Amino acid sequence: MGRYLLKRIPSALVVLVIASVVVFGILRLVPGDAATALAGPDASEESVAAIRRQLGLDQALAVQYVHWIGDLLRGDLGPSYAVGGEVADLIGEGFGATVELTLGALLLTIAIGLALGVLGATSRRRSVRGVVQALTTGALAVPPFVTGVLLVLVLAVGFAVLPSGGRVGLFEAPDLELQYLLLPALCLALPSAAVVGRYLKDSLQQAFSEDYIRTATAAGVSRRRLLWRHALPNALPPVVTLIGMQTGQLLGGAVLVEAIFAWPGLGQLAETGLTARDYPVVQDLLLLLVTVFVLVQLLTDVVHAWLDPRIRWE
Amino acid sequence: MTATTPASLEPALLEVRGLGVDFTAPDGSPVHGVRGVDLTLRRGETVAVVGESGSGKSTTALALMRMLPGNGRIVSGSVRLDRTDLTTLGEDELRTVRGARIGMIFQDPMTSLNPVLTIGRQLDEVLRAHAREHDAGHRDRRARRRRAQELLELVGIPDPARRLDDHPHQFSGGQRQRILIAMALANEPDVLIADEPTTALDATVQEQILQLLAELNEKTGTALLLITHNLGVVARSCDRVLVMYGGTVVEDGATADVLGSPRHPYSAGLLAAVPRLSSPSGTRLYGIPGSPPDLSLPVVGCAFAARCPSADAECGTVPPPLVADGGAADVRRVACHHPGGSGVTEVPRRVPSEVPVGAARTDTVDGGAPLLEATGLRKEFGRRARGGRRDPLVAVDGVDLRLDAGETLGIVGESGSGKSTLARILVHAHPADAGVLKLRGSDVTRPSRAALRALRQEVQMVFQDPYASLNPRMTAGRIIAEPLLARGGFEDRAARRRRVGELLTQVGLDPSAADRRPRAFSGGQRQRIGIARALAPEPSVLVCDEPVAALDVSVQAQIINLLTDLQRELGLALVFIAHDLAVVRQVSHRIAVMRHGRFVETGRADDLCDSPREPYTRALLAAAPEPVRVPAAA
Repeated sequence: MGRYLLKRIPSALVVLVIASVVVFGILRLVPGDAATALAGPDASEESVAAIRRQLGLDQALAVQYVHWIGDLLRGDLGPSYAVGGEVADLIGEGFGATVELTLGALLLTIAIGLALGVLGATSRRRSVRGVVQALTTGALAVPPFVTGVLLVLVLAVGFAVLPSGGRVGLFEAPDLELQYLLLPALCLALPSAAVVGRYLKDSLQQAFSEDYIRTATAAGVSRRRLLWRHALPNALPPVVTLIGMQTGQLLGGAVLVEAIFAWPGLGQLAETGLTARDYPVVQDLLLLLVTVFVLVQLLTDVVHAWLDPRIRWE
Repeated sequence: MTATTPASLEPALLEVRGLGVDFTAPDGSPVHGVRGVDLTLRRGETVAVVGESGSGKSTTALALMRMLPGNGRIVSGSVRLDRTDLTTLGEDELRTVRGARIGMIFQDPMTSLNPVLTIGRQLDEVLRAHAREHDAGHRDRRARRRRAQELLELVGIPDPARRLDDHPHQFSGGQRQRILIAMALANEPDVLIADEPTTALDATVQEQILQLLAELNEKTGTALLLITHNLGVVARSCDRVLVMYGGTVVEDGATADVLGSPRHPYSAGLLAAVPRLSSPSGTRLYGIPGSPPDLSLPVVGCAFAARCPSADAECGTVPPPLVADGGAADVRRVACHHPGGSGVTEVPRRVPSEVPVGAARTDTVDGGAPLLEATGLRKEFGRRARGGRRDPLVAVDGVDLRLDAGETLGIVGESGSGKSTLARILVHAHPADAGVLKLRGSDVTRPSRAALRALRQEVQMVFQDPYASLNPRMTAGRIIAEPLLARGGFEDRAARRRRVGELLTQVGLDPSAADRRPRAFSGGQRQRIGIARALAPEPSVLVCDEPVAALDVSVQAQIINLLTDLQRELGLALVFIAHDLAVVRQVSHRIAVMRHGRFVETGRADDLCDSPREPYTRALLAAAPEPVRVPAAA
């Protein structure tokens, strides 16, 4: 397993290098640069040029890139241009909240997806299978900002069982925090859970039609064990890959959901950073997200190999 | 049944009476897969159920276990195991029968084991499933592991203690079938149902598995119900045989009687259609004319009537009952209005082809340049060993061959011998890594793009699986026209249609078949379409890779005879690749035996089969099962 992981690392590094170049380049392509944004609408040409020089933005792009990466590798994220304060502190503040939201949504995605998939594939009642189908279609069709508003209206305003927004911090008051987390996490998780549920349903149905299930049935293995011990281990590997990809979706979607539920995560920072053309903040933020995503993919590959012995041997 | 049972015979262990199974077709209409099947199995007995695809033999086996697919159901009859009628049991009671009283082995060992579970786990699951009602000792995990180890030892897996922790992909096909047998026998069932247990295996491995089943039958006293299409397998290992056709039993008797002197015209035809290793090269194969009945239509009278040489008006209207045919009912029964009647005995005789091509050919063409010539062909595939070292798999390793116009070169070998890779090199599907390939004397080893187009028309291929090798969304006409379009000169629709019609006629189909899609054709007809497609660009060499392996015995003769007829008409050179030595001998002028990517022995077909020089060739010949053990004067 260790060697399997080692083999995956070089390609992950290549992805990171390419991502850093793309992130860097895309920001430079956005019209208007940091200096113009900082100087304000009425600034003179000279003052803009001065700011540009001060920030080092008059240097060649390649030089700027090397500076950025060099500082990053030394662990120095530097000061932000416009938002104020050190980039490291800014990101540090919101990172925990966003990770918490994403992880919460991921757990819900897995739980709901698993339940929908298993029910949809194995229920003998046509009505149950129909409901599963309707639920997954609905969850996929309605975008998070609509489900978000609906959830708030019903559970926070109508029945007032859950808070409508905000965050208290997981370590300060865990039980209270879970109440705050539930709605935004659910809102973020629903579309992903629907995708995972559908995929797992198809994957399970496929597994149930395989010869080895027939072999186990002929041996008198019970229906329940057929599902959990024989079909599911075969149906899971592709679903794990899918969940890995959905994690990226969740990270990206978190920005939007944070806005709906006033969740103090990285979403707000990303927005202000982008409007102010605050290159260091946005660059570091995007690269961080890419890094997390690459790590999740690595983890996915490892889980996949652990589930399917044939991969380890390739 | 009022006939008295001889005292020497034990009462029936498994007794099937009047079993009927219906399937629901996608359009909602019923298909009568099994109609009124009677079957008796006694303790320790081995009984074979023989039939071709669609005869209902596998459906019968699945129905016994109540494991029919979702669109199938038992509509009549009973299945009694001792005194219990399995057709009325609930799901939980059935579970205590499956795997405990009746074990089952399936056809394809490569897909029948769970790929992500270790062998130990899979055996454990089977033992655990019946720990409660069967053997209390198996409630303990370690006891189950010990038993699993014993089972692997019983079926002849070396080093069982260590191998319990391996996964299926670490075993060969033959070993996997052994493991499946171990699983089926784990709870010491009274009955073992084996559905085509050796069909997916090489001849030498098939032999080992049959021997193992026979030994286990003797050692454990388990009754064996062997479902197969292979009469050779039946002759080798069964006391009694049931022949099925069109969903019903047409003949039932002792193996020696049924195979020695079949009473039903279908049994006789089937037996005659089996290619025999003892028949010399150039012998024309016998095939039963027509194709099996369409079971979605009501069968009026005898299902075989349409293909039967001795059928009369009665056969077309009154279904013949399965009745005693001389002697006691238990000994021999046949469902025919004219059992052993005229016509039947004439059917099995062989018609030698008018030109004994085998001998004449090699002498006359020896002088000129060969049509196709290969020297030192080599092909390897990249593969890495565990440490990451390069460890290429050499699929073809220095093959020399020559092929003249009008000649057939047979290539025999077991799976993994490199024969299909060689075929792909010959048709330029992928280039050889080394060696020289010449067509009509000019080097075509690494052709240019333009030359390749021309070459591909010269050398065409017929594929193994007529079900997978035709695009289901195209009509037969479009499939055959495709190479015409690629070749050019047939831009005019009418001209193309005319040519397609000619090709269809040439392969024995009606030109009107052009408008139908592959699904509307039987396996044999589909293979004819595949051949018509290969003939469309007017090739001079036809490479046939296992062209009849997916077809029924009674149909394979039609295809093989078609190929030899076409060869004579068009002067085609044929490369005929197969694993069945008997078929290869009869169609080939020369045979090459392939193993580990090399030709181990090459020679004139009859010489090679009658006096093989290499031990491997001898082993292959010995492993090929003959339908009748000693056909002294055939």
